[in-house]
Amino acid sequence: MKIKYTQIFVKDMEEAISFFTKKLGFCASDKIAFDKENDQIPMRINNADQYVNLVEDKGESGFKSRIILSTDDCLKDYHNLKTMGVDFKGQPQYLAVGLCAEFNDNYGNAYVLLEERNYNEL
Amino acid sequence: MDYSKTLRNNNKIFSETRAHRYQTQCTADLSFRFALTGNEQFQMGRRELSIYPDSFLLLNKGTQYTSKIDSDTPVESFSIAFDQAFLQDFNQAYSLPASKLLDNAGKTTSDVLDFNETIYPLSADMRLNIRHLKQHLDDGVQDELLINEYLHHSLINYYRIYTNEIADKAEKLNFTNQTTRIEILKRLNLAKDYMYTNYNKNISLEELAKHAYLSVNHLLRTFKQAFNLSPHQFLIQLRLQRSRILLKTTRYPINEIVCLVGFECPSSFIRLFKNRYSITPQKYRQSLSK
Repeated sequence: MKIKYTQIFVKDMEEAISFFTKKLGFCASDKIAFDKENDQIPMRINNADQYVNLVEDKGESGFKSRIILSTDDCLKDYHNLKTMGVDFKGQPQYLAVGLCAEFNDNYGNAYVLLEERNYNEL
Repeated sequence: MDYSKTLRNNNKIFSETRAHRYQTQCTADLSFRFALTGNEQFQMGRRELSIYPDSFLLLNKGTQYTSKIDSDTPVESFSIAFDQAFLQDFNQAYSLPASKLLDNAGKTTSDVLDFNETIYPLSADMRLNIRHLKQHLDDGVQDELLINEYLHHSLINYYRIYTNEIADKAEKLNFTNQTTRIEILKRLNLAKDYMYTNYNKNISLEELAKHAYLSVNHLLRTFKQAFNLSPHQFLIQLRLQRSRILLKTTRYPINEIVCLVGFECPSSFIRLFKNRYSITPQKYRQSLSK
């Protein structure tokens, strides 16, 4: 068993797809009909076998996600995403787990760019 | 890889890999000096300092020094020199708590920032940031905004190290007078520099006290106050840490590493290593090759 899909609720599907593909560098896969009401668009990056599914929030469920994106160089990705117009909440911060930077999409979902660091190694 | 890069804002980065080099220079700007592999020796007046991959040296603007690399294997020497305006900008955003200042750190007297010129431990965050930066430069990255992002973060890292190593340590000293605390800590740092540099030699307390301009008793008492360790314990920790670097980066047999880092007896080395890291040197090396 493994995790394959997580879901993010968005208000505007077209805009969300554009945010993921043009700004974050994700690729969109074919839409999947998970249930009768909603089509979901799986998005993935670097050909990984994990997807975030964009789900249009038609009602007012207001469900918010917080996605942690792993990177091996937080400052580089922070800089590149900022150049692409991603609006970060602040500068990258040093935490006990490593270096991280956070941004939001237009629908209140949070994304954390995390470079995990092993502080015990030399 | 060798290069010397001057950015448009006048920050400078030098990278050079050499087994032998000797040069006398004067720093044009405040600089960080790293030896990413091997070691590099510096002489400033009568002070002799040696940096290894677990430490770095800060040189203030206008310091005269001689640096020397003399090694069997090439040494990766890396340095950053910060433009004054870049430093001032940074300092305005991240000024150190005023009550904790040493020297003129963070103050803008005569527009020159002046920090304690000593060997600092290279924190993991700073080491990783420098590694990333060097990798990008080695790959030929030209994006100056990106490069400056790393330089900015190396200053963030440095300010944290400064706070831990200088400001907080000075606070721990039992003297009411702030000036006395600062002066004593400066001298303790001379003792620390001496150990960082001569860690693999026999160091007597008298010798150490002489280099710190303190009496033996005074040195023992104040060192313990500031660092929570006796000079001897500090030296043992340093030797163990450097043995770990050698275990990781070389194929020298353990018996040889014991001598290289200044221990006399392999069995006491193995015991101390195991006490500190909860693993034997042999198993530690094996765990790395997996």
